[in-house]
Amino acid sequence: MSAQGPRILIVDDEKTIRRFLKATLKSHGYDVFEASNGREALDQSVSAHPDAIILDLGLPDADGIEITRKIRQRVKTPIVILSVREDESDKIAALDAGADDYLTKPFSAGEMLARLRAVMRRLVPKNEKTLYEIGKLSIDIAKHQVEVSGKAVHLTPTEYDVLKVLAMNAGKVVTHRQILQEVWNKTEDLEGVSHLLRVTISNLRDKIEPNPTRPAYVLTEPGIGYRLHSDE
Amino acid sequence: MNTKSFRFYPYLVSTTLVVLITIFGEFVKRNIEPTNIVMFYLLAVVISAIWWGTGPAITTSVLSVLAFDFFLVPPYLTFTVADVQYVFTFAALLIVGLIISTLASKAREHVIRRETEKLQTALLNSISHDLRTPLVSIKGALSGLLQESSLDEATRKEMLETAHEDSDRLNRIVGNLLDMARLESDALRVSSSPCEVRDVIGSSLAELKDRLADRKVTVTIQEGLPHIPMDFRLMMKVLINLIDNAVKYAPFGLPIDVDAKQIDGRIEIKVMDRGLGIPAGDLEHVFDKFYRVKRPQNIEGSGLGLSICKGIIEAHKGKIWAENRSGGGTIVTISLPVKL
Repeated sequence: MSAQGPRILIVDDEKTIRRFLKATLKSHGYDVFEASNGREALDQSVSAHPDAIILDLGLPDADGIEITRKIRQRVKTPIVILSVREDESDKIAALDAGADDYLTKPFSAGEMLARLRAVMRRLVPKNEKTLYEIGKLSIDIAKHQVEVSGKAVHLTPTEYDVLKVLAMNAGKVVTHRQILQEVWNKTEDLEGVSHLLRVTISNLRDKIEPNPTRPAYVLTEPGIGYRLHSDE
Repeated sequence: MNTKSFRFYPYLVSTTLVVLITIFGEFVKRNIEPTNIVMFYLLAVVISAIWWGTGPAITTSVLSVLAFDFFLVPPYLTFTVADVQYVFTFAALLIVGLIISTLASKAREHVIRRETEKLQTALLNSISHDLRTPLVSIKGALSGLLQESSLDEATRKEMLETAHEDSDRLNRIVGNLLDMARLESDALRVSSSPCEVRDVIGSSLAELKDRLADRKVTVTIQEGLPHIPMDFRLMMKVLINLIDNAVKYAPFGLPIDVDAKQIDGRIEIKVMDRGLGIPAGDLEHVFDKFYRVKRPQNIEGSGLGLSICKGIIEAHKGKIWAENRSGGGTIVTISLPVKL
C-alpha cells in the first residue's frame, strides 16, 4: 500500500510538529515513521531502516546529542537535527557527534525538504563525483580547476581546499571545526586558526562571488560554519 | 567599575555633608548653643535617608554624633564630655537618626515597589498586545481557510501569506523578549572573535530576504576594513533589528542604505532610511526600554528592539545613536572599537 519512497524517521515529542512533518513528507512521496522519545528513536533507527532521520534535540527523556552519538554508532543514516535559534553550542555539539545538518525552529516546509535532499544525496557513492556546478560556478576536482561563467579563477591552495570541502558537502552545513580539520589539519587550538578561515572565506568570496557583500555561493551559517549553496 | 564606585557614592556624599556641617559648627559654636547645631545634623540624616536609604542614613547619624562630640562639645578635640546633658543630646540625635532613616527608607522602598509594579503592568500589557496582534491574524486566516470552502484562489493565497508573515513577526517578538530577559539577567554571553564586517552585514540581509523583497538596499563598505572582534550572532541581531526598523518606518518600498567605514580606531556602521524620521525630542530616548515615538500612523512595535541593540553594542564596548537624515529619514550609527 505504501509508496516505496525514501523512508524518514521523525523523532519529536511534540505531536503537532510530528503531524506537520508527516503531512509534508507524505505529500512529497516519503514514507514516514515516528518516535516520540529517545528510546523509541534508538530502536526505530535500526528496526525501521530509515533513509534519513529528523531528530529534535530537546527530547524530554534523553540528551539529543547523546542520542545522535548512539544512533551514529549503530547506523550511518543521515541525521538532520531540529533546534531553536539560541542553542548554537548544542547544534555544533550534535554536528560534531555525527549529525549531518540542522534546522532552526521555526522552519518552513521548503527548507526541511531541501535539507533532507542534501543529506540523502550523500548516500550516493561520492567518490565518482568530481564536477560540481552551482549557477555559474564550476568546480572540477579531477582537474583541480575552478571557473566562474566559463573563466578560470586563480585560487591559492588554501582557498581551493576550503572550496573543495564545501563542494563535496554541497547544500550541507560544514562546521568551522570540520573545515579547520580538513584544510589546516588542526584538531586543537581552533580559536587560534579560526581567524585564518574567516580571512580565506573573505578572499574566496572576492574571487568567486558576483557580489561578495551578498554571497550567492558560499553562505555563512552564523555561529556554526559555512554552506555551499546547491541548486538542487 | 562604574556600579562599584556608584555604590560608595552615597556614603561619600553623606560624609561630606557631616564634614560641612561640622566646619559650619566650628565657626558658630561660640555664638550659639551647640545643641542647635544638632538640627543641621538631623537634616543631613533625613536627606541621606530619603535619597539613599538606611545604610547611608545610619552612617550619617553615627558620624554626626562623633563629629559633634569631638569638635563642637567642650572640651573640644576630645571625645570626653564636660556636661552630662550632652550625653542626652547624643542619644537623642542617634535615636532620632535611626527612626528617621527607617521611616524614610520604608517610604522609599514603597515608592520603588510601586514603580516596579507599574513597569511590570506596562510590560505585561505591551507584551500581551504585541503577541496577540499577530496571533489574531494567524488564527483568523487559518480558521477562514478551514471553514470557508468557497474562497477563491487569490483570497486563499492572501490569507496564507498573512498567516505566514505574522508567524515570522511573532517569532521576532519572542526572540526580542528572550534577548531582553537575557540582557536584564546578565545572562547574555558575548563571545568575541575577529569577524568580517561585510559578512555580518551580508548575513543579516540574507536573514531578512523576505522582508526586503520589495526594497532597494544599497550596501557601501570601505575597502580593506580590518576584521574586528565581535560576537557574530549578536551583531547580526543588532543589524537585523535596525534594518527591520528601516523597513517598518520607511514604507512604500523606500530605499535603505547600509554603510561601513573606518574612522580612526573605530568602525562605523550606518543604517539609513528615507522614512518618517524621529522627532528631535525623542532622539535620545528611542534606545530606552519600551519607549516608542508617538505617531499618528499605527505602527506595531514593542519598544524593545533598540534597547536590545544598545545593550548588545555596549557589551561590545561600542556606541549607538540615532539622528535625522538631511532630506528626510533616520540614520542609526553603530561605532565599534577595532581592538577590544
